[in-house]
Amino acid sequence: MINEEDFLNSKMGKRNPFTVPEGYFEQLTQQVMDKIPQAVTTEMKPVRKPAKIAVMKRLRPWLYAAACICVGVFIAAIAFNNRSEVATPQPASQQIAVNEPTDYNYYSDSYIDEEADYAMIDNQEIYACLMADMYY
Amino acid sequence: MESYDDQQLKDLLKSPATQRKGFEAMVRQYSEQLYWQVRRIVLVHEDADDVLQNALLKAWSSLSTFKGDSKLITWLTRIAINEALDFTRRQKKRQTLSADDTTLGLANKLMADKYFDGDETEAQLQEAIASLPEVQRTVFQMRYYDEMKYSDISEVLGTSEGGLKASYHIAVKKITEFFHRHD
Repeated sequence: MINEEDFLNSKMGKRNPFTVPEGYFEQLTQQVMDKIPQAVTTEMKPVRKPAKIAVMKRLRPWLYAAACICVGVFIAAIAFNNRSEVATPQPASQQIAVNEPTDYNYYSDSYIDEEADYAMIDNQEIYACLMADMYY
Repeated sequence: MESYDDQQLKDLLKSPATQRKGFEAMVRQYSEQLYWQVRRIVLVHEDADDVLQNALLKAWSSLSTFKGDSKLITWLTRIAINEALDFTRRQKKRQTLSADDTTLGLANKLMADKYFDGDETEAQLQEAIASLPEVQRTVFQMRYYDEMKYSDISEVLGTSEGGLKASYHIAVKKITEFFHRHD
């Protein structure tokens, strides 16, 4: 191993065959520093920033509380509106049971007739659907 | 220009008030050494310039992650070598020629480069070094040209000293064979 390394030394030495443009290293540092953003010094905005931060810190809990109240009022308004829609008396033909809306026994015949007319399906189509349901 | 030792530079870099000054001093002190390590890997001056500047900018943005447990030059070398190796990997992917054709063209490319001052044998030697596997090539260049200790190379590359010695042995053997073939 040592012989091989000595052989390399004798053949190629440590000569550097690469070169650089004149003055390259002298301007390299400045080129690199120009690409680094300048830091903001403490002299620039010494007074305003701390005051702003202090005011915001004090106001923040109140702002959170106000936001929660607004959201609560909004949700309550929606819930109230939904209830009042349900409570509004409807014509008997359109009355739907509140307790079991998915239980079809509670739908009146007149309601079903109205819905069928609206969907433009006749009795034969209804029978076909019901028959299909029996087999699947 | 004032020169600082490793600890002085680390102290300057720690404080936000002196960080920029410390970084500038560090670049001024170490950039040339880093440049040649990069240049020996990427070979072309313009590429070495790009890679080195990218590496130094990466070092700036990584200052907060530098724990100070290694020497600054070791840390910088690690960043620069990794940038250079990443560059060569990307370059290889972009090349449309086969590997053999690429290495044959490299000596000619160097001879035509205005920032290469060697003769044909030196150009062919660079071609032989460039054809070594990545780790062998890097270890060879850091050990032979930079005369770095195996412990420092180990810190830079994250490889065991035993592995580095083995890689170096193999690299030296291959380059010796290159000279025997050309004699």
